[in-house]
Amino acid sequence: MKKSKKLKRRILKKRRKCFSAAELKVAVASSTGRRHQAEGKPCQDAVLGFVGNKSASIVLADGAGSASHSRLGAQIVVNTLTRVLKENFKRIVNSKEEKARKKIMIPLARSLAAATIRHQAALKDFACTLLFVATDGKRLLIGQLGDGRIGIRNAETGDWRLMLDAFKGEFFNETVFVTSKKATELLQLAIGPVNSIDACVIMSDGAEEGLYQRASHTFAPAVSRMLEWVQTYDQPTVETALKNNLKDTVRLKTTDDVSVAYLSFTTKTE
Amino acid sequence: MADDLKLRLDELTDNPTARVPVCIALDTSGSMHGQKIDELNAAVSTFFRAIREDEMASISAEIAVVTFGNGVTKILDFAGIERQRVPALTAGGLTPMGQAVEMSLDMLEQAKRVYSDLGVDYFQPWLVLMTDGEATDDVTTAVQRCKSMVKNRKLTVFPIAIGKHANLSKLGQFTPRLKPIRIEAIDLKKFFSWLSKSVNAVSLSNPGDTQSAGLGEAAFNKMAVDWDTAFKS
Repeated sequence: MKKSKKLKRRILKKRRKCFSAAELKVAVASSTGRRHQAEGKPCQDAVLGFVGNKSASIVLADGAGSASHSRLGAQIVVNTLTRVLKENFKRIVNSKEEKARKKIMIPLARSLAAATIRHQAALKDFACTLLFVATDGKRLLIGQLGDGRIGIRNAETGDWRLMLDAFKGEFFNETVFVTSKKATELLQLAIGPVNSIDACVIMSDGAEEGLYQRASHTFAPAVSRMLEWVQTYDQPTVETALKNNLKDTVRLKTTDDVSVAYLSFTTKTE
Repeated sequence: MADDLKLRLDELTDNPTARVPVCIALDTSGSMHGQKIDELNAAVSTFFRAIREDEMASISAEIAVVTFGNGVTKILDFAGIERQRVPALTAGGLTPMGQAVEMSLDMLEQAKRVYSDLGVDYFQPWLVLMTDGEATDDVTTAVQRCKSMVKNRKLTVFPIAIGKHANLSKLGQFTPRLKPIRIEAIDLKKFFSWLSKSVNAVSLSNPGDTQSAGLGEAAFNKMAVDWDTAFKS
């Protein structure tokens, strides 16, 4: 007897891991780099985590050092994108890639354009990079524009895998920004089922110096240690611990600002 | 903070420091004899000392020196600065600038290949070209290579004319983006002091600090504007 379509769908759904919003945890932290601290300047990274009824997200933006309003630009980008991901996650992940990029970038462009008028500044003055992960418990949406790193962890093996690729020019201090002319084209996206992933991490290029080894393409043991905290402790405790460790330890590997954000799934099959 | 919420340093990883490759091509032809070569020797020594004394620059800067006078000589290849000893420069011969520039470009390309093979990041290379006269060999190929690399933002050339007999327009052919500046031999130390500070600044810069690879150009243009008031003796 042929299995009915309904039965087939039920079996597939059982096999896929699904998470309710209650099982998702996020934690984010930043620390001002030693160079900015010595110059009396604030951190130019912005990072935001969100868990709602239907989705969760982590978003990180790293302001360009040469841009006069990049700190504000980074804040605008993380706030705007968090709202967009909360309101439009389904529409974005159901779109073709080109349309999905526009659904993400157009609201950012509008928010930044409004800021240029408010602050009488040019768009390039708000330049920042962008990394994010969002989920509705069934699907993951991952995006990157510019440098920094995104990792996903396999629940069964505990191994971290690099997602997407940091955009860098030939030279160390070259990257692409949200305000760059070809930003929409260069935004990298990955959309897929959650399946056996149990955690995601995003980190700024400053944090990368101590948390990701470029030669071997591996994440440092510290990345798993910090994930354990996310999975074990409440958000305020974890975020304090992340911030302290970024300041006391991770920052020693770079003069740049350092930021990390985690999104963790508590594994449970429905 | 509880110990279980504290990272250890050995739980972090290391990445090699991004390199700043700088090739200095120096005119040591016969006309540099006397005060000019003495000032040049003193200035180059000061430059290397300044780089060594800076914590960040000493691990990221890689300096090579090519001289052109009695032939073209690679007197220092790229290496960690702590291992380099600068030999005394002597003046003599003609001015084979074209060959020297080509050798410098080849050395910079080779350095980049080594960095790439080892997974080491690097900043845009710099070529510092200093002469007190003009080339006595054919510079066509050297000029074309420089121009192409400069236009594609793969290289910054700093053109320095030493003394009043240096041909500025011929020197300027090597870079469409920066005008040569004329300095007196007595000011060579000041120039190299500026150069060491600029190398330090690049070694400290982070991705995103410049929206293009123009950090060196911006600094040179500013220096050129300020030269008469701030640097000249």
